Amino acid sequence: MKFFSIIGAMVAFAGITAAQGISVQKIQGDVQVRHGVTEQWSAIAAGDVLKPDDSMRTGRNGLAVILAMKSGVEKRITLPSEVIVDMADVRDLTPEELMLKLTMERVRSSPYKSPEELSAPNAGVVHGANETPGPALPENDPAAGTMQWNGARVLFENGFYPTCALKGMELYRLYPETARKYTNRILVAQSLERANLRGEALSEYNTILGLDGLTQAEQSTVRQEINKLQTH
Amino acid sequence: MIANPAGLPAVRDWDFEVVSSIPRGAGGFLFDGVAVGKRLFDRHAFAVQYSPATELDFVLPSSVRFSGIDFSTDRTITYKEPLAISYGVQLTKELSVGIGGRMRTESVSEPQIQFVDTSVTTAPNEDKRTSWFVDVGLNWQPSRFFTLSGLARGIPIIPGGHLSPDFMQYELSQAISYEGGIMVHATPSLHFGLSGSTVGTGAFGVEWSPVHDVSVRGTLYADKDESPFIDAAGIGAGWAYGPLELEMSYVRFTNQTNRTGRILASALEHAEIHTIGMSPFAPDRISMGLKVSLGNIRVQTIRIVGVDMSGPIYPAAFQTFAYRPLGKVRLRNVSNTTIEAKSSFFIDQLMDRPTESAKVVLEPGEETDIPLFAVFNDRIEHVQSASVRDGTVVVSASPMGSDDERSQTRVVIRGRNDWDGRAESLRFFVKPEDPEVLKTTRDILLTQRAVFDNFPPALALFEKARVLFDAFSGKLVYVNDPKLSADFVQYPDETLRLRGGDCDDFTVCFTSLLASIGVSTAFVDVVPPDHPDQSHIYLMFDSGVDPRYADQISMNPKRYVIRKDRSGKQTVWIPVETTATSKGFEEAWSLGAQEYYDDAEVKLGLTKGWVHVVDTE
Repeated sequence: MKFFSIIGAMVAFAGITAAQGISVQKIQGDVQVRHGVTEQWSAIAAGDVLKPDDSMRTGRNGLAVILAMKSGVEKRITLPSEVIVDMADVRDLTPEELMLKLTMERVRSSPYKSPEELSAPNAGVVHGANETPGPALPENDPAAGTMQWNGARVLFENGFYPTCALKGMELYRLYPETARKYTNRILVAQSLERANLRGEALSEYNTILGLDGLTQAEQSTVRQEINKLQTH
Repeated sequence: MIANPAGLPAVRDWDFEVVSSIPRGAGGFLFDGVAVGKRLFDRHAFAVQYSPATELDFVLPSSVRFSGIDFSTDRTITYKEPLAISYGVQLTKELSVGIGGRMRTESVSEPQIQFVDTSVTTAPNEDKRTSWFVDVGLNWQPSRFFTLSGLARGIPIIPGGHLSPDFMQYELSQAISYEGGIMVHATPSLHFGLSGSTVGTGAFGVEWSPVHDVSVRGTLYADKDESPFIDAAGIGAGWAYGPLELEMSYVRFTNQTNRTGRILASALEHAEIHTIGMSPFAPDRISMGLKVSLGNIRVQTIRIVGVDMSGPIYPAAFQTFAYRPLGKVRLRNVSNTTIEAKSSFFIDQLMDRPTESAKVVLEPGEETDIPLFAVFNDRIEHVQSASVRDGTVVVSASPMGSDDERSQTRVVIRGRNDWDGRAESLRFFVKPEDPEVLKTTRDILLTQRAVFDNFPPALALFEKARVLFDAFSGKLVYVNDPKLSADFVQYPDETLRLRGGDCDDFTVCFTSLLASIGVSTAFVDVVPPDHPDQSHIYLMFDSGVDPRYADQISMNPKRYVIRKDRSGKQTVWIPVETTATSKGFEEAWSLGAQEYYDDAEVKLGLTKGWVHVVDTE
C-alpha cells in the first residue's frame, strides 16, 4: 500500500480529474442523462453541464456532442446512436493510474494479517447454507451491454484508452458473453497497448488466441500484434 | 584467600571461607584463617580476612645459659599478617579494580637478665612494629580468551616506624613490588596462568575442570633468589556442590633447607621475606578450605537491559496479542558461556498465567530482543476506562532453568470501548455471536419471513440485509462520541440498547447484524487527504449475486461494486451509509453508493490510498 500511496501522491494532480464539468454542445433525437447513482434516466438539453458521476445514453436515433478536456485541450466528442457513456470515463488516466486500478481489481483488500497470525475460524460459517436451488436469475440486459460496448468504442476513438480498457474489463464481468466476442477483446487489447501497458496487452492478445471461432484473418491479426509487442 | 582485590567482584552475595592447613611437622590441622565477603549494589564487593596463622616465628637461642633457672633469654622474632580488608568494583564487563589493606606486625622479644639482691629474674625487652600496607589491583578481560591482571603490592600507608636499633636487622622490607599476570582461557574448562613480579618471583599454573563443579590445578612457583629457581610446586583440587566449595591443596618446596624449623641466625638476617606465606622458611603444607556462598547463590547469567512496550493495549483487540507482540525485552548474556533464554509476560488479573515467548540462544556478551506476547482472559473486555497496570517480565536462562531476572514495566490498558482509529482494528468490535445481535436478527427476519418467499434464493442475502436495515428506519439517532474520549466505539449490543451512535458505532453494529446471518462485509475507510480530521467509515456487504445478474440488484452499475469474495469469486457488493440507516435502506444505499463512486472511482481514492476497503473476516 505504501507503493500505491507514493504513486498516488505523484499523480494526484496529473491529467484530468473529471472534477471539471462536461458541457453538452448538441442534442439530437433520444438522448438522456442519469445522475449519480439514481436509477432513472431523465431528459437533457444542449447547454447542460454534466458532472463526473453522470451517465449519458443515446437512443436508436439519438446523437449528442459533448465538450470535454483531453490532454489539457478541449475536445468535441460525438456520441452516436445506441451508446451509454459514463462521464467519469471521459478523462485521462496515466499508465500508472491504470496499472494501479488493474492491480486493485486483482488484489482483494484484506485486513491486517501478520505471518504469525493464527487462522482461527470465525462466525461466517459455511454450514447451513441454503441449498434450495430456486429459479435462475435472468442475465443482465444484453442490449444495455451492447450500448455500453459502443460507449467503450467512443472512448477508444477519442483517445481515452485507459478508461476504455477498464470499461471493457468491467463489461466482461457484467456481460460474460461479450468477453467471447473478438471485436470486444481486440478493442481492450488495443486500448491497453495504446495506453503503454505492453505486458497487459500481450496477455490480452494471448487470451484472444484462445477464443473459439476465430477466423484465419483474425488469428493472423492477433499474431502480428503479439510479434510486434514482443520484438519491441 | 584474598590475593588480588580486583577479583573480589566474583563474590556472589555472602561468601564465608575457612582455611586450615597441616604444615609439615605439625601434629594436626591448624586454623589458618577465616574470610567474609559481601557483594553490594551488583558491582561492588567487600571482604574482611582474619588469618592468625599467617605468621612466621623464629627463636634464636641465647648464647648464655643458666642452669637450675627456669627462664629463657632466647630471642623471639615474630612476623604476622593477621588482618586484611579489601574492596573491589566491576567497572565494566571487562574491567574490575580493587584495593586492599593489610596489617603486618613485626615483633622481637629478648628478655633481659636482672639481678635483684640474690635472685635472678628477667625483664621484658621487646619491640614491635605495626604497619599497614595497601595493595591495588586490576583485572582486565578484553577477550573471552584471556584475562590480564596487575597488582601493586605493599604500598606503605602507615609504615609503623622502626624497631629499636638492637632489632632493626629483623625488620622486613617495605619496598613496593609490582606483579603482573595473564590467564589464558583455552576452553571454558581449561585455563593457563602466568605471573611475575618485580621482586623476582613468579608462577605458572594450569586449571582444568574435567566435569562441571570439579576442578584440578597445578602450579609451579619460581624465585630468583632461590636455588633451584623453581622453588615450589603445588597441586590442588576443588569441588562445588550448590553453595559449598571445598578446596584442597598441597605445596612442596624444592629446597627444604631452612624449612625444617631450625635455621641459622645468619639465614634469617640475609633472607628476603616478601610474603609470609611463601617465605624462604615456610614449610610444605596441606591446606583445606571450605567456602559457603549464602544469599543469592545463583550466578547471574542473563540481565534485562530494558523493556519496551509498543503502545497501549486496546481491549477490543486483546486476542491479537497472543501472536502479535505487545512489546519486547532486551537481554544480555552476562556469563561466559552460551545460554538459552526465554521470557514471559504477565499482568495480574487480566491474564490467568504468564505467556512465554520462544527461546533464543545467546553467546557470551551478546544482546538480543525477545518479543513479548500476552494471552488475556475475558476480564480485559470489562475494562471501562484507560488505566495503568504493572506488567511483569520474567527472564530465565539455562542451564539453571530457574528465574534469573525479572523486571516490571508499566502497561496502559485502554478502555474496552477505546479504538486506535485504524479500520483494521475496528473489526475486533464486530460481534456476530453476541446473544443480543443474534436475537435481534432472528426476531426481525422471523417477522418478515413471508417476504423472502417471494424472492429467488440467489437474492436472499440482499433482501435479508434490506429487511434488517429497514427494521431500524426511524429508530436510530446519530450521536457524537463522548467528550474527552479517544475514539470511542460501542459494541453492537450497546448500540442496539442505546439506539444511537456515530458512524463507527453503526458500522460495527450493522456489520455484526449482517455477519450473524452469514453476510460477508467490509469497512470502507475514507480519510480525505485535504481533511484527514473528517475521516469517515461505512460498510459494504456481499449480496452474493454474480455480476452477470447484477441487473436484479440495480440497473445502474454505480450503485454497486464488483469485487472478489473470500473464495476469489466475483460478486456484487452493496455500499451502505450506516448513519443514514434511520432513513431506510434505499436512502442509506444511495448515499453509500454515491460516496463510494465519488471517492473511490471518480477521485481515484482507492488507487491513491486514501480510501481503504477492509474485509471484516
